[in-house]
Amino acid sequence: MCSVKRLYFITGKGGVGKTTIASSLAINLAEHSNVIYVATDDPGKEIKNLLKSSGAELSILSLMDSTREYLARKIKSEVIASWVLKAPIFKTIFDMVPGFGLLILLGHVTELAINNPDKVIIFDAPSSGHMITMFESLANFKKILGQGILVKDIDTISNFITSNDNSQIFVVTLPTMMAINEGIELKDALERLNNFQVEIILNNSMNCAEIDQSAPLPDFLKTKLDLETDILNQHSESLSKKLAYIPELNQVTIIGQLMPLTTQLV
Amino acid sequence: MTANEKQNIPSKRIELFCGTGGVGKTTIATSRALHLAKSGKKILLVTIDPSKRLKEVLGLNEENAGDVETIFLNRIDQSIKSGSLDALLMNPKSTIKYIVEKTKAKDMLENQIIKILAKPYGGMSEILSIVELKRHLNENKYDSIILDTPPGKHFIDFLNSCKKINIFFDNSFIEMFKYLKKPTTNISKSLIGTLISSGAKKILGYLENFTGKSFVEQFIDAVYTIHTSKEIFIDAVTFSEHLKDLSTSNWFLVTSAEHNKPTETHDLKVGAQEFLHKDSFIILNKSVQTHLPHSCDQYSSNVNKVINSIIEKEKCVYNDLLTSGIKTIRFQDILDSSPQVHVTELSKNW
Repeated sequence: MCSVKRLYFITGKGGVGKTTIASSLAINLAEHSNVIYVATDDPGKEIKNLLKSSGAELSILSLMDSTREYLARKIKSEVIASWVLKAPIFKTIFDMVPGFGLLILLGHVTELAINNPDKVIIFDAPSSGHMITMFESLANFKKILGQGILVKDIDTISNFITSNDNSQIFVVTLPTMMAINEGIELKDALERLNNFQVEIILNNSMNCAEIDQSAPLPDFLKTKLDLETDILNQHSESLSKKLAYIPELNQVTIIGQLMPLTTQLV
Repeated sequence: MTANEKQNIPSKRIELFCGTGGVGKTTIATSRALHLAKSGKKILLVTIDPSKRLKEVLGLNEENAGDVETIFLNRIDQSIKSGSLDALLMNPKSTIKYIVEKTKAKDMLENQIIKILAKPYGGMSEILSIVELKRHLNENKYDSIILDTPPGKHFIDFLNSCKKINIFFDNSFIEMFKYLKKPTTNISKSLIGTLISSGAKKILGYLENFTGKSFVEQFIDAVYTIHTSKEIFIDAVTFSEHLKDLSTSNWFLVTSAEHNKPTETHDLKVGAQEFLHKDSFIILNKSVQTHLPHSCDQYSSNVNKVINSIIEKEKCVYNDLLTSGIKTIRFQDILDSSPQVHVTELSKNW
């Protein structure tokens, strides 16, 4: 475990299991490190309790709160920051240009990593499209702004997350052709933006589940397995990290069973 | 309600498909388009989702994004002898070009901020897609426009915030920007009022501290330029009114039996509350119900565990959807790797 990074982004489409994997990984790493679990959506009471009992710290950030905190620090006044954010013009800009809020969120999370050198940050990050908007905002706003304090902050963020020792992006996907193509496109898009280190995690893999394929199987399951094998063969280089389908319904049980499997991720 | 029962839902001028990512939204929207086009309707299939799964399903060229492409139905299903549908991958840049043609607001092409925000992931894609959709609706060329929206609540949030966009086109607001652009002594009382209440001047002052003067100037220019095309934007925003209208729109919320986050459909429903009417449907995609074996006796305990977990998961999702009060339709999981086969098979559900 000597290669543990400082900041992990877990992204992918909605419903692929980002939160499940992010919390399993956080709990796994919390055995040996100080972990902060960061998310924009509340993962729910059960998962929060699970994370807390593993020793991980939790930080649930909303875009608005994140922006307010950042602004307050920059202009050294919480009152003015709240006031600015409440102004109709700011709200309108905020709604119409989502990249702005996402950039501040990214800055917030990166600063958390920079200011806590002894901790590992697991970020249950926004889903695919927002993830690209968030990372593209680094370059976009640098171009728009040209100069000033914000550009310096943007450079600090970029430098930190493009260093491979510091950060790692995981794109979670499911074993269907469309989902995998989309995962690969997201990986390519992020790598094209900058020197980010991106890896794909195939979640819910039936081939990795403990199914004896020589024994009789119902037709639909056999077809599912065959389709998945085809996809795996076609994309063997991109899909080195696989997590098995866990035949359970309760999310906490799934996280528990997935936890040891996430060792391969770090 | 079992899978593969024909639905016979009458088509409307706008058919909107939304749902979380990876549930098969694009494939299902395309299957609806294929079904309606086959029956002779003139169809425009539009994807606003920047991830553009549609290009994979229809074999479109990304380079043509922004232009309407005619797709012969036999490209999807070879057994269909004739007929076509139109498809469009949204491209913010082409929409800006259209706005400039219409309004002669040439500055829009030059402004650095607008240029950057109009990139596919730059953040202006929603407002521009509404402009594009309203344009096609106004042209009245199609019986139905079928919309494949970006995943999740995002698009709904955008529709909800449409009302706020009006703030940009409030006359006193723009007068204020004119003033900020070129301060004059002739400042009206109402303008002073707006300046104070919106706090715009102070904010721009703060902004300048961070960003330098050139950004603030460009920003004011951007707002001003957008304002010169205000008729187009104000008309576009009325698109959301059509979506609330039972006689104009059908709503389809798509989810999947294998989805890991069933609560998202609820969030979607709550978010879209203001829009949903009697002709709103939930589609539970990738249903395994009809694929299930009659008896599980011959399988090992591990296999049975997997089968049971899949059955139970679908049951949970379905029961949960029943409580939503919206009619839920099941679409069977298509076990094939070809997107065209998926669309062809799914179109039989309609």
